[in-house]
Amino acid sequence: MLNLIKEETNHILVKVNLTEANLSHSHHFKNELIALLNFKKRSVWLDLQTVTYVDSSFLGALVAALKHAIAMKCDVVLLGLQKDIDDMLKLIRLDKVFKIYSNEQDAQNAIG
Amino acid sequence: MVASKIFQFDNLAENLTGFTRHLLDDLTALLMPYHHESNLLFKVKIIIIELLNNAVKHSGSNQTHLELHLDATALVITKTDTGEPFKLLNELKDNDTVMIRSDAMHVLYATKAGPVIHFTFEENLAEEVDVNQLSEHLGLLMIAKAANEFTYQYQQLENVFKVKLYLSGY
Repeated sequence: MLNLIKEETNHILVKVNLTEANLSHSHHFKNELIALLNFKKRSVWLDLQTVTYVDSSFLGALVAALKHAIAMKCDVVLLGLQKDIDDMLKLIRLDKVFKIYSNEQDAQNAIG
Repeated sequence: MVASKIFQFDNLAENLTGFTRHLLDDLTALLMPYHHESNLLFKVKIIIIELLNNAVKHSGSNQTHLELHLDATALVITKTDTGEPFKLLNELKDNDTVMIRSDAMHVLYATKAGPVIHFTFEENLAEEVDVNQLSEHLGLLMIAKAANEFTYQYQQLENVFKVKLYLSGY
């Protein structure tokens, strides 16, 4: 489900290989993401460009991973959100807590 | 335009992806004449997906009945199942309002009016958000925020969740 694409000094770039990110994936996704944070001890930049929708359980998993990352003084950054997902994050105001960029280059320019 | 669609779901998590995909394809076609309605399909998707999640996680039954009714004024989505009644039903007296979830961003309320529970929310607009105070359980909140009206009722031994989306001008 998570493909490690690139390792940088302060973060890793990870691609999420899902189209529908829903209840049937969220528990596994959360465990995999938290294991990756623990192992790499760096922020995770999640490339979500192939994901067409997410549900509340998947968003809950992202929030759990963000809490875990912040406790480690790291971060979870979201890249390449499709419009519906971006709108959904805005609807429940999670855009206030996640750093969101259209692609890796934009994230590099802002926080890299 | 008046139209109705009825769907049955078996409440199995492994069937959620395929069922949702099929249902949303149907709805996209049904709502095509309403593409000018701001975010209507987006909101409907959120509501349907979260109602189905709720069925898988909480209904305790093996069948969920989902009905969509569209008329000139509103789209009404009704989810029914025969699982255990929502526990709030017996905890609330008439006209009681209770906070059922609260985190750094939102408060979700339930108000009982006769046999019906109404879900509403408030946003916490504080500038600083403590991530550790964020809820990881967002389903009911997402429905409440996407809907114009969101209610629950236990009627003839069935749980009935009803979500209403107004069409423009109403």
